[in-house]
Amino acid sequence: MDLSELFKSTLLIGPEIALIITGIIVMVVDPLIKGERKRNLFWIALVGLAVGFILNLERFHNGTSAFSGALSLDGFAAYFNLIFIIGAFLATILSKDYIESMNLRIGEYYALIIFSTSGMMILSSAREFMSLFLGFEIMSVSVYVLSGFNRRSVRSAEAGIKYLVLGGFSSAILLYGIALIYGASGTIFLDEIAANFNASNPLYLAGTALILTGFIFKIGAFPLHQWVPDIYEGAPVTVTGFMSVGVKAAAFAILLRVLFEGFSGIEANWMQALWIVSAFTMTIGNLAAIVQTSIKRMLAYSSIAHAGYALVGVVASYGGKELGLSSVMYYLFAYMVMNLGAFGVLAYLSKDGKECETFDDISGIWRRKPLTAIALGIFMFSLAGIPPTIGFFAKYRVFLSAVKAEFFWLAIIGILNSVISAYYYLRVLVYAYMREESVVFPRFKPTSVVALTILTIGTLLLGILPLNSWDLAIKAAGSFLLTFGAK
Amino acid sequence: MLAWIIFAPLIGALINGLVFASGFWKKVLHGDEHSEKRIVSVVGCGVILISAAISSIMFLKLRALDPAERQIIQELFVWIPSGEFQVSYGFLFDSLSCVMALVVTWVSFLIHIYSIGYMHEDHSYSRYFTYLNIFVFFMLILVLGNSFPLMFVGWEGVGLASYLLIGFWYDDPEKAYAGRKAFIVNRIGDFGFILGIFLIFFVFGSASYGEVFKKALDPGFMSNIPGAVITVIALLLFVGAVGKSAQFPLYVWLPDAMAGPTPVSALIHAATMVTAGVYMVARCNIFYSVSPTAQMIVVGIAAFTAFLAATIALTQNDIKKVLAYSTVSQLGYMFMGVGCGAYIAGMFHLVTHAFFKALLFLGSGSVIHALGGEQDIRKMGGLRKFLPVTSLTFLVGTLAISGIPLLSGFFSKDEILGSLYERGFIIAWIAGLITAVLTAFYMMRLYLLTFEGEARASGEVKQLIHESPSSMTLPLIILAVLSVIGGYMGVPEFMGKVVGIHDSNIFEKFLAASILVEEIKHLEHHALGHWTLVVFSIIAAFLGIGLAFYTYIIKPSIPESVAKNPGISSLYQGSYGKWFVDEIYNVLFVRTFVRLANIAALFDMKIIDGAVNGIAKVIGEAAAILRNAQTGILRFYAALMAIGATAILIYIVLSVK
Amino acid sequence: MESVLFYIFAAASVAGALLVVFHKNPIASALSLVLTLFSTAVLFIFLLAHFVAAIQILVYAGAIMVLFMFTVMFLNIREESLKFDAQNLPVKLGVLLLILFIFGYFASIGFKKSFSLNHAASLPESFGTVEGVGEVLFKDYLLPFELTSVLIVVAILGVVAIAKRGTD
Repeated sequence: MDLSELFKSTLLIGPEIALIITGIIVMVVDPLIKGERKRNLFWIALVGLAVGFILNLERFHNGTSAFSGALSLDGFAAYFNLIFIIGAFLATILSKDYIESMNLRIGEYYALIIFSTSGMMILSSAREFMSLFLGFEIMSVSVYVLSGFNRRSVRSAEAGIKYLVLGGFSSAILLYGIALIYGASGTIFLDEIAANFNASNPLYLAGTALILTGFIFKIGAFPLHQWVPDIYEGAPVTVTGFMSVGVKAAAFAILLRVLFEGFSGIEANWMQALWIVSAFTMTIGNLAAIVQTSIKRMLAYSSIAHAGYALVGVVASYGGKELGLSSVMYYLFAYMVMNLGAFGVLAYLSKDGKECETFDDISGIWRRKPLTAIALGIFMFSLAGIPPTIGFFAKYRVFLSAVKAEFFWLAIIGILNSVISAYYYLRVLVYAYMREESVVFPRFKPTSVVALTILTIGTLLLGILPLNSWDLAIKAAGSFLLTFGAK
Repeated sequence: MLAWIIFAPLIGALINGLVFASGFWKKVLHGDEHSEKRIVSVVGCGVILISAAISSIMFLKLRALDPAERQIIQELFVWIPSGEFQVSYGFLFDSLSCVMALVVTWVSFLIHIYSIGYMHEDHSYSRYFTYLNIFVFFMLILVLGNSFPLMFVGWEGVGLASYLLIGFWYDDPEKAYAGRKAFIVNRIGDFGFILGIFLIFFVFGSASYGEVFKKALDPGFMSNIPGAVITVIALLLFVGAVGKSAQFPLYVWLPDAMAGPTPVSALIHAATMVTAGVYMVARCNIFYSVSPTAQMIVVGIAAFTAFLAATIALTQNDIKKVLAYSTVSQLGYMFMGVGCGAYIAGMFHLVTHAFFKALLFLGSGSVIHALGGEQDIRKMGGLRKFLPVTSLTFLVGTLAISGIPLLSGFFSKDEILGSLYERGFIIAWIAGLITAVLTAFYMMRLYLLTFEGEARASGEVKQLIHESPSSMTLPLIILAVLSVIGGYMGVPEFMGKVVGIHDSNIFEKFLAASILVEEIKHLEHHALGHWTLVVFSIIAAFLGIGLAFYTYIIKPSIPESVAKNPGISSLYQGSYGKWFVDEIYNVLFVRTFVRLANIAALFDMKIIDGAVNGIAKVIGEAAAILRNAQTGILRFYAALMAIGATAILIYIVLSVK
Repeated sequence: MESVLFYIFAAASVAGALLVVFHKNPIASALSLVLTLFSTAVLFIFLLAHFVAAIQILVYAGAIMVLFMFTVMFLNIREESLKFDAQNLPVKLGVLLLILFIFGYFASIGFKKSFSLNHAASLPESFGTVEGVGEVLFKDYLLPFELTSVLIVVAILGVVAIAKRGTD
């Protein structure tokens, strides 16, 4: 790779560079200003994310690759980047009031959110294991720190440590898998691995299994889901919202890319494994969510269950089916909108250093804050997959793709699980609408309301009129298949 | 532009609903009630006027087009882009929907104007106009949508609006019950309708009119489809029509629907919504034309309904109930028309009926308004001198519906009867003729008992009787004029020739483009010629009117003696009791259903609940196990992860042979 | 000769790793880690990766381990707090052994199947030298190299966020 090519490649990764620079600016400006003025960092973060968003749009039109194929800047990556950036943008807006009411450090918070987003973006386009792993770690290390960001809360600190240790463990597994694959094939590029793939070589099989394990951990799926509830519950609620949508989507992006492009040689095998993983993930997530007494923890289990639904779409993409791929992608987008909304409501209702997390904390909001109650209701309906919300259409697409790909049992398990899930989502509404209030709710917070309004409207509008949002996912899935010339 | 016909009423409903009916105006802006009513009236009527004006402009545009290409399509956006099942928001303005749109918007406009006077005292004035605008919005979606799903949206939407308006005075439990009854009975029909739509999609692979009808016209495509399938589609759709357009056996909701405000009865339950079924059959004419079985069933049910409802109408004493049964009976005529393949004749009767039935209902509303809410015709009589405008216009409506020559009802009804005879539906034709006699009789009876003879109202009421305000009489006059001249757009050619008009029956020529299968005019040589048939109709009309005159003016003692005559009294009791259909339904369905529901409840409590509780218990225990696994101890998690990673490794290594 | 040395150092590195986990004295644990890192560096030399081996010793066995020792001494952890948690010890050991056994069993099945490592046809002249590593690092793998710097920035930022006093 000569200099001019390096230069060209650098220009191509504008969105990532924009975010990294924004992160550095936030980080550097933070110590230079004092007190109230630190709040202005919020605007720097938003502008940076907006620039990244705009630069990223270009990739939908002109898919290309950079750094001799290490990064594939295609529509697939662009679609996921859209999820990350919109998610980070809205999470940032939601965080503003929350950080102030929790009295957290402003500068590092925004910088870490942005760095984490840049890591996800690298991850979504990586086709080479070293960049992949570094993107993975940039993303992960940021959220480890963010999980433990509220130092006054013991549980937040505990979540941070737990996530760091367990995350490190999973990274080690992933790295071990990468090493085995490198040992077997002598390369770290996905296309070359696919070309050399030899199913009779146990190194390939063990490597595939270990890499898969690493991703499954980050997705939060069975059998490596145990960390999710503890960490989601302990972390600051806005961080939980951000990582439940961003990190999960990024892990799915890289899971799809590595499995379909690199390990298509034993597609049938990992697909079967994912079938089982998906079925267990849905069931365990939903069953455990039922008995929770904390909404935050309930939403953590629900996020396990949703990872299971999205995995149904992955299984349904068997053989590189556009319908299945696009359904996963659309599902993650929908999940971003509705789950960020649900956590956003919890963040909105937190005040004076105390988080809103139990059912008592939301009971009776219908009487005091009807609009918030309506927003919460819409998000819960959407998570339960009840029309006319985005959650319904997303789930419908996933199950439709499973049926089309003839995974009938998986679709049935998924639908049964959706039925179970309605119970605990609607229980939230019982508390919100039918109980007397037991706590004093915080005052009106204009900034968060902006984000919640956007999310509510998005959940409803895309539920009533999906319009072209599906086309985008289908096109992105098509560009993904094009990248490595799948059948 | 087309879309604005539909969206104007929606905007009106939003303004009236969000600003006024919600209480925003009163509570937040502290506006007074007087100005609220004024603004609501202007907005409510104004948006309908806009719709009506745009429909008229579109009508002119449509006429300017070449007859073969007379349709204007506007695609808004794709609604459900789901694989093969694509539904787009789009509107189709062809001659058929044009006729419907014109009738709906202009009649609605008149009734909106009328409502200003009629509902003036009501406290829920803005809520009323909100609902009315919503109704028009959905009705226009129903007639202008370019696909079956969109028609279904409108179909359900008008059902909702109808439910809201029947139960408008929901404080009265009986009225709220009537609303629910209408809603539930309609559900039965809707179930058939949506099954029909599914079947259409299944067979034709699309649900938009354009594609479905194109394939249905393609002999190559149709040769692969068994005729029975088309018959089933036609009949399923007709089940929907039976519910919405109040045909036997689902007509029972319509008389009860009179619990709503009278303008609502005029608009929804006479002129527009209940004719949706007729429109739908006319729209799907191709399915019916190829299926003689479906035609036979439609005509049979329609003829029976027309006759049955007419017999009930003979003896009712509630002014609105008589009109309600009359509506059911007239809808029967329309279905006879569209059912026998004379789609244009059916549509023609739909239009004229919209004029005179709206007129009659509004007239009855004017009477009820004048008498302070009295609906029993036994307590009326002699109102002509108190309500000159109302009585004159009511008489025009009565004569028109009776089929007196040269009024609108004559032409349309005669065309249907003629078509029935020409197409060989002789029994239906005879039933139609008898029904015509009955119609003339009960309508004249209604007029005579209400406006002629001696005044039977009590003294205090008499003091208060006054002619209605001009906002109510003006629509009456306009509708009366339309009832007189409305028929001249459909004068049959053989009549036109006599008078020397060359371009007669413009209605048929205009609509012909929307009827995809050529109407079969002369099936065979028949014994009776055109004029003979006309004479039969005229005799029927005059016979009915004459009988009514004889019975109620010349010999007023007859009704009582008839009712007491042992031979006839059972018949009288039957008619008066509406043939006890409601009671029969009550025993057959409602009670059986309640009994079944009780059994089901028992089953539910003992077995399902037991099972559910059992499952819940199992789930709870499983969840408890899961919860216990969630110890929160880091090393334990790491160990579980290691086990999980090993399991995945084993699975992958073992599964590869 | 080479294989004998390989087994010696491989065994030393595993033994060091086990000592890190099982030794009660934290300082001894840390020093055992030096043994592991040093033995690994020797394995790098067998692979002709001299530069990497040197870096391994300099950075890990040198700098990072010094840091470790400082921290451990600063914290002044008492020995008993590091005592092995003897509760349910048989169960834990049993699970661990089971995992090891299963893993080993399948690994041995796998390795019985015939396969060959992908030997690079021939190593370039400059393999393992500073120049060679530099070439690869700053040309072919410039992106990962730069990403590493981002990762380090994030890590520093995280440490600051967690460790810094005050919340202003």
